Order: sequence, then C-alpha cells, then structure tokens
Amino acid sequence: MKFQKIALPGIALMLTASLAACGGSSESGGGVLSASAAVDGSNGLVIDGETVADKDTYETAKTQTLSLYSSYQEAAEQAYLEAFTADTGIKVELMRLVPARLSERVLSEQGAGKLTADVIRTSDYDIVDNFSKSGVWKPYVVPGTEDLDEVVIQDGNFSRVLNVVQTFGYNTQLVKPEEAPTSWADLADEKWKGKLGISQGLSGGSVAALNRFVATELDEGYWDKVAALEPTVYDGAGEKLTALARGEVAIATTGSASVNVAVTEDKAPMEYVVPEEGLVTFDYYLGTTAASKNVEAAKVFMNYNFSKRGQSLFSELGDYGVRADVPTPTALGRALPSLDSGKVWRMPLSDAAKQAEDAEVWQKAFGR
Amino acid sequence: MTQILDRPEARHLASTPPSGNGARRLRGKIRKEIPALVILAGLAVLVIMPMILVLVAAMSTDVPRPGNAGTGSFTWENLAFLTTPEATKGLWNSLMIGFGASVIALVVGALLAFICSRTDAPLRKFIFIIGMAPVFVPALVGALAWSMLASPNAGFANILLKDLGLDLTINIYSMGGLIFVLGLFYAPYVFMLVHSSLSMMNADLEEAAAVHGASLPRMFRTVTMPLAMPALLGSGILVFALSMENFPVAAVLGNPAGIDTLPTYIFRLMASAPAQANAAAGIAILLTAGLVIITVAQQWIVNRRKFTTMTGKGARPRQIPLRAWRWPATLFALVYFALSVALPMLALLLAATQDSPYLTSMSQLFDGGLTLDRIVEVASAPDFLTSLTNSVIVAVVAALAGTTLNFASSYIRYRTTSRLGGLLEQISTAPLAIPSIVLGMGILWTWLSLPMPVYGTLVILMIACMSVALPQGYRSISSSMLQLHSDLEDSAVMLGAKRSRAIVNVTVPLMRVGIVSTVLLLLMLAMRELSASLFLFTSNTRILSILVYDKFENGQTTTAAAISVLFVIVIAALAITAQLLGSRDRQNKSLNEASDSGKNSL
Repeated sequence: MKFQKIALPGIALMLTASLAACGGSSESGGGVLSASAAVDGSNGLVIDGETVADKDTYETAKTQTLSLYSSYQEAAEQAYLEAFTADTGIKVELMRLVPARLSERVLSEQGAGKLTADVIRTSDYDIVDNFSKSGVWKPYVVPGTEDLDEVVIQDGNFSRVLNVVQTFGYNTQLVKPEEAPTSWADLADEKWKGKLGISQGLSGGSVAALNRFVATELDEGYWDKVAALEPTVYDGAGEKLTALARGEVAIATTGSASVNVAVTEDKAPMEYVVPEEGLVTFDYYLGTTAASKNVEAAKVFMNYNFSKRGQSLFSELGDYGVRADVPTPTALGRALPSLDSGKVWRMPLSDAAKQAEDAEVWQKAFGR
Repeated sequence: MTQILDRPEARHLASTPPSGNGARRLRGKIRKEIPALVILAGLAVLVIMPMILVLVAAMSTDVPRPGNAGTGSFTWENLAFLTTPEATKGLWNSLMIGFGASVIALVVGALLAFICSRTDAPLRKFIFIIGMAPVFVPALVGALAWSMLASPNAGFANILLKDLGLDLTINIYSMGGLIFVLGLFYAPYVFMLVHSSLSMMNADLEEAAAVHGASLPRMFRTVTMPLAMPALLGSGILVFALSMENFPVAAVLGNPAGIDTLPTYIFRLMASAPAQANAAAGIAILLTAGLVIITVAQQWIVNRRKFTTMTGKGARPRQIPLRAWRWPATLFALVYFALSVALPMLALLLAATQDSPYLTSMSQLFDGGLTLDRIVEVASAPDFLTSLTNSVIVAVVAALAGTTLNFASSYIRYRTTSRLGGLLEQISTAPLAIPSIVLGMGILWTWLSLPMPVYGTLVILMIACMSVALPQGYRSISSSMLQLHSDLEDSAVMLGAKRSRAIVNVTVPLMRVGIVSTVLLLLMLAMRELSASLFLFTSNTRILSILVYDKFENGQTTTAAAISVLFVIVIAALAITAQLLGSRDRQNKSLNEASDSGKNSL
C-alpha cells in the first residue's frame, strides 16, 4: 500500500515530464523534426559548429522576410521552414504550388517583371532549365558544394539540394500490413482495381522519375497494366495524399516524407512501403533569383539548406540529402535503405531529355 | 417584375439644332455620341478584345506572354484538340452535368418558389430567405464542404452511416454527386425567377378559370403552369449554362471520380508545364460556342415572358390552401436549407475545428475535442490577411466601378437618343454566353498585349470581376432605371440645372435603392469569383477564392476548411454592411431589390 501511494504520484510525475518533453520537441517542426541544434549567432551564424553565414550577411538577413516559392510537399516544407526560422530568426513567406503551376507562375511573373520570389525550390529539370533560359536565376554556389556529385548545376544557376523519395503507401484502415503490396509489380495486381491513386504522368519531377523508372527497371507494358486497374488520377500530389489519408483510395503512389509528416503531425492512418525493386528518388533543385530583393536572407537560406543541420532535416523528414556525411533518412521511426544498398534508384540527370517520350507512353496507356 | 421594355421614344436630350450646314450637324451628332463612344471603348476592352484574343490564340502557334506579346503564326492545329477523346468526353460530361443540374435546380427552385409565393405554408418569409441563401456561398466552398460531408469512406455523413451500422455509402465523387451539388447551389436562380413570375402573375386569368368551375389542380395545370412556363424554361436553361461552365465544383468533386469537363480540361491544359495555352483556347472556343447556342435559346424564351405575365394590376394571385401538406411543404424547404447551407457549413466548421482530420467514428470528434486553434491560426496567417485585403479591395472597387459603368450604359440606352445604346446593351449582356474561365484567359492575353503594366496588380482582377458580372450589373441597374420616370430629372434641367447636375442630384438619389442593390450584387459576385481569376493572380495578388483553391490543391483540406469558414463570414459581413450603409431607413428593401436584381439578370 505504501509503495502504491508513492508510486502513483511518481508515475504521474513521470508522465507529466514525458509530456513536457514531447511539447519541447514539437516546438520546431511540429513534431517531425528535432529541436536540437546548437546555434551561435554572436559572430555570424554558426550551427552545430558549422559556419552558415558571416556576420554582415546574417545581421542584414535577420531584418528581412524571405519569399520562397516551392513545390516541395507543403506540410514538409512548412516543418522545414519552422526549423529554419527557429534556428536563424529569419521569417519566410511560403508560396506552395504544384511544379507545373509554379513554373507557369514564375515564368509569367518574371516576364512581367513582377517576380517576388527570392529563392525557388522545385523538381523537374525541364522546369528549372526553362527558368535559366528566361533569366530567372542568379548564379550562386554554396561554399563547399563545388565538389559534390551533380550538385552545382549550370555553373550555379541552381543546385540539387535533396532527393525526394517516390514510392507507394496504403491506408491502414483499409489494407492490413500483411496484405499490402511489397513491390512495384504487386501494385499492378488485379486486386487493387479501383482502389489505386496515382498522379497524372505529364509533368513534375516525381512523375518524370517514376516514368523513367518504369521504362528502365520494370517490365514493358507496366503502365498499361496499371491503367487497366482504373486508378484515380490526381493533378496534385497533395490532393492524392489527402485522398489516401481519408481512405478515398486504399493505395497511392506517394513519398516517404509525405507519409511521415502526415502520420506524425495529423495521425493520418497511413504506411509507406519500401518496394523490392527499390525506392525511386528524384532531384529537387534550389536557386536564388535575379529578382531577389532579400539577397542576404536568400544566401543564408541557401547555405542553411546545404549545411549539415539543413541536410539532416531532410533525412528526418524522410528524404535523401545530397551530402554524404548526414544520416540515412528515417520515416516513421524506420531507416530507409542507404544510397549504396542498391534499393535506391536516382534518375540520372542525363535522362531528363527522355521525359517527353516517357510522358507519351503514360499518356497512351491512360488515354488522357 | 421589371421588364426591359422596348426602347422608349427618344425625347430627352436637347434635339439637334436646325441648321443647313451638314458638316456642323455631323459634328454635333458625333459630339453627342462621345459619352457613348467612351463607354463603348471601355466595354470593348472588357469583353470584345478578350474574346478576339481567345479566337486568335485558338488559331495561332503561341499566346501573348508576359514580356512577349506575340501570338506566333497562323495554324489550324489547335482545333484538332476538339476531336481528342478528352475534348469529346469533356463535352459529353459537361452536357450531362448541365442537363442533370438544371433538372434538379428546376424541381427544387420551382417548388420552393411555389410554396413561398402561392401557398399558406408556415414560415414563408423564412422560405424566401432559404431560397436565396445559397447564393452567398461560393461554389468552391460548397463543393469543398460536400466533399467533406460525403466523400466515400471519410465523409462525415458516411462515417455517421457506418456508426449507425448501415451498410450504405454516399459517394459525392460521382456524376450524380456533381449534378446534385450544382443543382442544389443553382436552384436559387430558378427560385428567384419563378417566384417573381408566380407572385406577379395576373390574378384575373386564374380567377376566370375558377369562376368557370375549374378545380384547383385543373386551374393550376391549365392556367398557372403555362403562365410560369417561360420563367421555368428560361431559368432552367440558365442553370444548364452555368453548370456547364462551372469550374470549381467539377475540379473538387469531378477530379477524384475521373470525370473531366471542358472547364477542367481547359484548366489542365493551361496549368501543365509547359502550358498548352493555344490548345486550351481551341477548347475554349468549343465551350463558348455551346454556351452561345444555349444562351440565345434562353434569351428567346425569357423575352417571350413579357407577352404572358405582364400586368399593370396589383391584385395578388390566389393563395392555394395546402391543408395537410402545409407542414410537409415547409419541411421540404427546411431540408433544402439543411442540404444547401446548414450541413455544408457544419461540415466545414467540424473539419476546421476537429483535432485530427482523420476520423473513423463520429465519437472521435468529441474524444479529441474541437478546437478553434486552426481557425485562429489561419486568421492571423500573413497569406490569409493579404488575400482577405486583396479580395475586399478587388470586390469593392469592381462593384463600384461596375455599377458606375453599368449606370452609364443603361442611361445611354434608356435615357438618350444615342444610336449606340442598343449596342452597349448587347455587349454588356454578352458575357452571359462566355464561360468565366475563357473570359479570364482572354483578359490575361488582352492586358499582356496592351502596353499597360496591369498584369501582376489587383487592377487586372478588378477588370475580370467587372467583366464577368457585366450582364448581372447591367440588368440590375436597368430595372431600376426603368422604374423611374425621366420627368423628375427633366424638370431639374428645365429649371436650369445642367444635365450632369440633374443626374447626380435627382436621378441617382431617387435610384438609391436600386444602385445599392446593384453594388451589393456585384460585391457578392466579385467576392465569389474564382474561374476568371485563375490565370490572373500573382503571388502578391492572391484573393481568398484562389487561396482556398491552392490549399485544396496542396492537400491542406483542414486549412482550406478553416479559410472557407472565414470566407463565408466575410461575405456575410460585407453583405450586411452594404445593406446597412445603403438603406438605413429601408432595411429590408435592399435585399429584396438584390433578389430582384438577380432575377432580372437571368
């Protein structure tokens, strides 16, 4: 009895302490990202021992509000930006659009001299290449990234900043883990007829990479088989993810980071799969604009993205950074396969030119 | 009921002075037409140029882009898109949706109008408000709300059905769902027109039938229905056209069901990378042609109305006793209110306040608790505040400028001898036949071609809102103009006032209620506008409807719901403010007039 009397308040105390700890870690990144970074802003910006910005740049940057146009999944981008603002004190205004609409917006605003973005993050090589042709970018090379493999592109017009995972996930209320498909080949199984959600296969980095993966790594006629399952075709990945979480489709192509954020922050009933043939990854690019008015904040943001801290945050979200010295990504507490495991497929940059012919195959299969 | 009557005898402005000098007379004539020419130029930029540019784009290899106004070279290739399966399927789906939605809107709207105007059902004043209320809910918000209410598996209604152990799923992502939601939200247009027709009907005809021994049902069948037929057909075809060109409902409810319509196909072509704008223009021509045919039919039918229901007598038509059906009739109206306003708003509110967006049982709503945090967070977010400010500025300016322009066109048409009056009227009412999404594309290309830096500012959005709502504004102000005899203004001129002073000091104050109701109508239409603005906004000029659409597209449904709740509150607040400002002494008149405006815009 005596023990119980002591034990109950003790348990209550421990519970309170653990709850408080949860609250602390959720302060930055809404629970997905860790709050822990050693930030020293006394002489420039130094995070976890790594210099991100010199004093002059950082002092000016702190007075600015950065404008970021991004097509990175909104919840993940918001978590990332919360961590960035918590670490640096620099506020960010986010304009999130799917890649195709982002491209149209940027080109129109650039043409009219109305581009307000300081920094743009998007996938799809064709899109960023078009930005180059339209004079959107102002070259900037983050110190220390010159030697990384295929990171600084077109002399620093833009840089590859991370590789986003494209795989598939399922709604856990509708599909039991043991019944879930384990490979891309399984996904085309008859039993998923009418239960599958995919993205329209015409534009966007995820689509370009998945189409290339299908063309080179899977059996011929794969898209025809998937088309025969009469999947729901979504225009945007965000819309598709919501439909999966709400159980409007049972299985859908999606990213490990998207699932990770939705489950952790919103308790979405979802799981992702590491398919036997491997995860597909596609490049995400980041660059500063010629129209930027907040040059210093843009520079700090660029540097932060390539810092060990910034790159580790991508790992925590569930995507692959471009630096080799950051941990392997984790999503829902599980580590994803390492880059050299043979289970992570990245679309080669040189294959960007094949996007149109791949899209045609997709279009033919789906008749749209 | 006000009719746009045949042009009255020209009798107002000073007649041309007798002179033998032909050149002087010609100069005088031209001088007299200057105000009309100015208005004509304005309307040309608002309506005609955009349509010419869509037509040009449909037959060119390029479209005007920011920084490059060229349209490339001539080609017929874009028209080949008309024969693609997407286009033919889109056209078929659009026609099906138009047909289905107009049938539902007709049945619901006409029944409500009948109950409200001709029966002894209880709560008829409330039924009048019920009949109008959905007009204040933007179509996008209505569609989002219904997706939260009845999406398969996760919709609140389906969760509730599952909780109750019923093996029944409502799937709003279907052709039936699309038709249902559009029919529901467009029923007020039928209601307004049929209500006015039924309540203004010449009672003598019905009396005559009754005196000669016709039973109530027979009288209704042989007299009342034929008299109301033009209103029914006219409004039915209007709903057909509106549903066919509707973008937001098709985007939210059609896309998950794989149902493409012509507007969603146009949007997809415009929003792909690289944008296939010329192909979109080709499809736009198809959609516009379809709508022109439908609108011409509608105008023809509505115009026939004047021969059947015009009356100078104030006698109220017969009231039909419903007896045992009194309460069921009111219940029908209440059910409509629940489906069109109450339940959708409740769904939005729940979605915006629920702790976790993913439920498996309604009881979880109360486990996790409801919180206003999300709404508060959204309300203080910079993108919401910017969009709210933009929306209000755009709507207020577009409503005021639109009313002024429509007043001028209508004045020239009905109060002067100008030969251009008829043309002004035709151009002002033309956007009825032009889908908003197409007008938006045309406006984009127009202002990129003109050497004025309007793109990227709120001005281009104001222009779009004015242009889309021209017909409604023109009809609304004209109905008021025709109610007021010109003698009063002429008396002022006879007593020495200048014409301009007479207009400002006599006509405008006398038309105050009509003018306020037109401003109110245009304000509502501008606040709801989405389709025409889709291609016109830039990051700094996002309006509320665009913000909601972006959040929806990004999968942020709970945020979209929270913004929608605030959106509807803002619209209601604006409506009430305009109401109070405009008619402090005649508080209810303005809303009634607004309904009149809506009705006359049909």
